Amino acid sequence: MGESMARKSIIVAGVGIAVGAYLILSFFTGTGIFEMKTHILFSEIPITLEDRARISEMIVIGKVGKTTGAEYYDDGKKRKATSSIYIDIEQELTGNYKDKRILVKTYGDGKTIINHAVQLAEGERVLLFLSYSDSDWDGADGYIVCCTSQKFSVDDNDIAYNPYFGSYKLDELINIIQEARANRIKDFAVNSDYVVIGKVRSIEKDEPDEYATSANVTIEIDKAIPDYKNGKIAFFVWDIDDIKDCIGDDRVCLYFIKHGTQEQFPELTSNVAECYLYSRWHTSDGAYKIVDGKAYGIEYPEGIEVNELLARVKQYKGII
Amino acid sequence: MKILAVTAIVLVFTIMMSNYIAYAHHYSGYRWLLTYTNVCYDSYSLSLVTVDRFSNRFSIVASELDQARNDWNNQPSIFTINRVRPNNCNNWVTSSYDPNVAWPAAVIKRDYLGYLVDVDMEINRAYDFTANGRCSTPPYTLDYVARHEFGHYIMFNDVLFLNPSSTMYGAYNCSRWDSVKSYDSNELSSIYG
Repeated sequence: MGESMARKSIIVAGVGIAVGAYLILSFFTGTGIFEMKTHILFSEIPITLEDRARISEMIVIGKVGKTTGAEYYDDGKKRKATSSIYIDIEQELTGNYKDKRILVKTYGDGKTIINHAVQLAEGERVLLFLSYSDSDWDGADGYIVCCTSQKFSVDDNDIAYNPYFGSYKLDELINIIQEARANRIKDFAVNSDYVVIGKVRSIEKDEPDEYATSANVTIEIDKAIPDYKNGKIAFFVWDIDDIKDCIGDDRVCLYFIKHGTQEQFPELTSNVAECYLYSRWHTSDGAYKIVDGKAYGIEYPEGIEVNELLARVKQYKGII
Repeated sequence: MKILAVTAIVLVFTIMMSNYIAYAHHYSGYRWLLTYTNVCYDSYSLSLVTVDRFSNRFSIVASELDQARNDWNNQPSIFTINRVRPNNCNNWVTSSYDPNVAWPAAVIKRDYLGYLVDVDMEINRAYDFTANGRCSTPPYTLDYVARHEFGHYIMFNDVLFLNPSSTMYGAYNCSRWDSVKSYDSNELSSIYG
């Protein structure tokens, strides 16, 4: 009887010590029930599946590989983390990438720092929309997968699912993507009044304040669709940085310009030009820089021959 | 006895379902320990945000953040987010520059034992913003963006469906982000009173 009691006491004491040690260790190492978790949540710009397909530099279907490493940033005010992951590519839909693997980055480390918008699990089959980002923190430079709209999960039955866009058969989704990409520049061509190629002749701020970012930009026209008689055109830009790649004697750009002031901003002063740079998601969308005969911009990050772009614009505008 | 058992099952099921409906995809499961929390605005990085065609306009950015914050504070719930001086502050609103990504703002929150302990908001200054209080896209209306982010700041996750109308819809949406919706307000009250 006494022996059995003693054995019980030893077991109870042992379990008590183990639990105590676990709690103490967990507390000091921040693990177990004392684990501190960090969650990242992004608000996203509104974008359709077709638009997402049009503005992506690469669209890959493949398997998520191992995480190769994580980078962290914490200055007491801002905390960030990204992890680098290889995707083994099965198919690339834009033709802009030939290798069989690509290194992407996603926010969080998948363990203690969780990105709630999108996660990449090892072995998962995915379709990803990728664009290069050059962040002010090196850890976030690269092909970032930040957001819900960038990833479809693809199951064994070839059903692709995205929380915003819904479910599609993979081949149906590929068709939608390819059709959308075949119509790149259509929205810009149809909704802008002029497509102009030229050099910046002058920049006049519409506000005298040194911190004003907006300006009226005058372009010396080389080419315009439809024809524009004056030889120059002035348009309003929300932020002069939106055309930073176009400023300089040797710089030529193509601009999608809309006539009229922006009705949604009645506070704009009378100094504002009669036209403005057309945009969709970002105020810089309507400017394409031209280098060696190719135009580079939001829907053609890989570049398109200027003549081909102009032919497309004419086609979409119904100009023969 | 049977009637009692059936009634109990129905009651439990109803309670479970009502919780499910109330919290579906919205409440993160974490809350602040107290019925208030504090936040500070980082004047340096927020002065780099372009708002209404100007940079170096911290006071306008702060006023937009206040407007969004007070919209949550003015709900019937007793929970409040107070703006405090930067000394000893834990929860920051800052900005960063991340071009070519689809997020105009983000929230990074840390929880411990089921409670939120540190929540920071980042405005992406690669985007331009307006402070005119009207629907705009782009530039994006700053108080709309901040209102959604303060919803994360409190405890809510994104909702990815359009109904019911919620400030926590995950993508910028003028008709949902322009004010705190009753769906969000009711849930806030149900958690903090």
